Amino acid sequence: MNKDHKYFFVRLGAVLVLVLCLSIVANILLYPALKLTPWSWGAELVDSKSHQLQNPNGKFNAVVLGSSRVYRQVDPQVVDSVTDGKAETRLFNLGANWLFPPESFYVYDHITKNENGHYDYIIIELAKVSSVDFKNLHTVRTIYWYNLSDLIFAITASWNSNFSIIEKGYNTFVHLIGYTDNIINLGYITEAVRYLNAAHSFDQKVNGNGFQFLSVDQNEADMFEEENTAKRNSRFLRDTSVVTKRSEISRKQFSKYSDNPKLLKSYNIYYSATLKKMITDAQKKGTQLIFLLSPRIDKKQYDELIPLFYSLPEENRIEISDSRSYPELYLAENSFDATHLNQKGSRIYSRILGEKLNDLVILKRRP
Amino acid sequence: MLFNSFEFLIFFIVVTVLYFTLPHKYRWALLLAASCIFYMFFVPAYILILFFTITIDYFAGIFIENAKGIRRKRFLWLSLLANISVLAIFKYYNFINENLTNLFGFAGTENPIPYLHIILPIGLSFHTFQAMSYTIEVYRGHQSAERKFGIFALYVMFYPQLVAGPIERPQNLLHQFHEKHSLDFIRIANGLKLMLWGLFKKIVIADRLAPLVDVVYNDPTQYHGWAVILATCFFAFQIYCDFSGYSDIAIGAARVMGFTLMTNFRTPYFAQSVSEFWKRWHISLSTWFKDYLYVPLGGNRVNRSRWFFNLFITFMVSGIWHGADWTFIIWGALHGVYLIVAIISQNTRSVMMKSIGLKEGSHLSNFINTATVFVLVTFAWVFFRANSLNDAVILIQNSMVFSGSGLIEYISANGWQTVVLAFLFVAFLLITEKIMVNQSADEFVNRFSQYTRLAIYVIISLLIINFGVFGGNNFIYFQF
Repeated sequence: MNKDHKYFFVRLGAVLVLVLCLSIVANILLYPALKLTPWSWGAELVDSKSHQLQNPNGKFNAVVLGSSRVYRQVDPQVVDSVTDGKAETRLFNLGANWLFPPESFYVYDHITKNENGHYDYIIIELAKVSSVDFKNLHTVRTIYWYNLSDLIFAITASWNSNFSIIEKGYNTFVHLIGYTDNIINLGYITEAVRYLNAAHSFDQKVNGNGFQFLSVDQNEADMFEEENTAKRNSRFLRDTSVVTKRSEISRKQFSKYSDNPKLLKSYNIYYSATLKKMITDAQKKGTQLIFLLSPRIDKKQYDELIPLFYSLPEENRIEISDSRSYPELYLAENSFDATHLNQKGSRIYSRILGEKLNDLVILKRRP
Repeated sequence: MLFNSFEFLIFFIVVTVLYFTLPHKYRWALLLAASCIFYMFFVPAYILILFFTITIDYFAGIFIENAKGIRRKRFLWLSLLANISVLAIFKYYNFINENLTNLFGFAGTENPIPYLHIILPIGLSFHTFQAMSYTIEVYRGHQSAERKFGIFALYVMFYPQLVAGPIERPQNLLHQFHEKHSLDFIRIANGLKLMLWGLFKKIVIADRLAPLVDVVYNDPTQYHGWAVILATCFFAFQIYCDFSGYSDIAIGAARVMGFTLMTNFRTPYFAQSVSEFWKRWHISLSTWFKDYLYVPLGGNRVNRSRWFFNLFITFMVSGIWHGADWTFIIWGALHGVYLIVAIISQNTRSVMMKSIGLKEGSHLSNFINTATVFVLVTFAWVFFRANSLNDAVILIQNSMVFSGSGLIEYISANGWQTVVLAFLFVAFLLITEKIMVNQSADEFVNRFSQYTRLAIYVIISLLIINFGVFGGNNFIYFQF
């Protein structure tokens, strides 16, 4: 390498280092000081809902958060009616499409940081650590929530999971990209301006308790459903056997672990430890943190989640997923599509959740 | 694969590193494979169309060179026919058929010719024109036929300019694939500077302006007056930044590897006449039409009416080249009319200028000329951008109505911050280009001291990162 070559790399390096340093300074000092965007700005629905949740007039003492399986299936009105006189919940549904860990943990951290953020119960849907589709890289939704601890959690949990080596490598890669995008503020001003222009109409889009069941009729009014739900529904109605297959997967997976309990010991130790720490921290604040195992998960996720679920303390977990125990949640008549329940199904599911919450209260009171 | 995507960043680094690592004799193969991968990121099957024209033109070139007399011309026509047929089928068939349907409709019968359900292969007009320039130049004896099939395929497919130009001539590009390019860091740095500036124009300006244009052009009845005028002005800068941004990245990427591509844009909105505009805008296409259509038709060495006919036809064809729609044809025709009127009115304009005491070449006269050209060119852009001829007419009508949904509604629909940012970046572009005049970004920046250059790179990078639009937006000219 001659002098010219060295000079080129020194200059290129200097530009990159300067850009990186100035970006980090802007990320840590400048943009937070400008207060252009709140913590939830990158996920429209989470933003609207958290705004509503933190409204002191809401007086919610319980929150459930997770993906569309929570957003579309947990009806707080039904849950509250079942827990009336027992668990006494006034539940808010903070579910949103594709809200999986670590993003859901980021949301959890922020709602409990708030001055109105004391809740008796917080229920988080248990899911594998999410990855990011390559085509979705650099979008706000895959950038806004990253911080160093979430990055470390995502990568470490992924490497401790039962994923293949390729998946682990890919997950590490996309999470590093997302984190880098976050610290260099990729497209931040453009997106922040877009957010500021749109934010004023958010409150009109969310029901009082955050719940919105899936329905073909409501599609046009539903601002947050990016996928064409009507198409999904009609595809499902053409062939409802997919839900039977899901039921079979659930039955086989739960049977596998109940027949051979030794298999339950092969859980993701790092992920489990993180959840247990979250439970302990929540307890200190007087909150019972509960992890919810939803129905109709795929085979691979069951293999990750069933052992993880049973590694948690009994009073901090609710399972409404086993098709042997809840066959009604796998019936076509209660389904909207292959993975979601319809309004009727969501009422059944919410009622079960309410009963399970009551059971946990009894369990907790036991000496 | 888009130049403004993460995939391209990885692709570019990998290909460039491999290019300089491999011995010279294998480099063409690497570039050809890379170009195939690059193209197949869009619609993989369409690479077969590309190979069809490549094969035809490869053999046509050799046959033309070996043949004598009338046979040379026959081989040339065969090659041109094959290329134009591909264009006709994929780009113009349905357009012609649609017009036939209308004609049949007037006659009260149904059009029996079926429509084709095909997608236009990306960048078809670009690589077809580049391939055609090869056979024409071989026929004219300006270029010897390329005997190595791989090298010829690479000439047509070279990834930096495959889908949106610059449309190269064989005399400029072909020999470069035979030459050994050494690792020259000054050249690499210059290439990277061009790429950075191109990326800035595309991601920060063009993609920022796109929604401000779309909101009006996708709903032409909604807005009136200043809203339509402003959206059209924004489109003038959107298309410039989009296309010249692409060209800068293409030229820069090629330069990093040691290839010199022709300049495609030279601050066109500072042109003093429409004729000058065409010497600064999409230079590789305007010179293509000049060399292969306008001059063979007789150019300006004919009587006045024939000269005007030649001009008009050349610009009409240029319009058709852009797209199979009447909007593009009218856009081209308008430019033809502008040039003819400019020639006819030349003396009258000089007299008028003198009578009001305006000195030719003075700042005021230059400003008036530049502003007039901008207004004319921007008016023509209405047809270029409108989704249909009907939409274009509505937009022109609405632009003259200063009641109803106007500027205030337009600003409130888009957000004042978005509009202000758009204005700021357009102003930044104009000021920078005014200072740059007739220099490329790398030439311009090299005039400064080392530390000023460093500051410029850092500022542009930070602007791209913080103010960029990262949605992987397509380039407008890909559709042609």
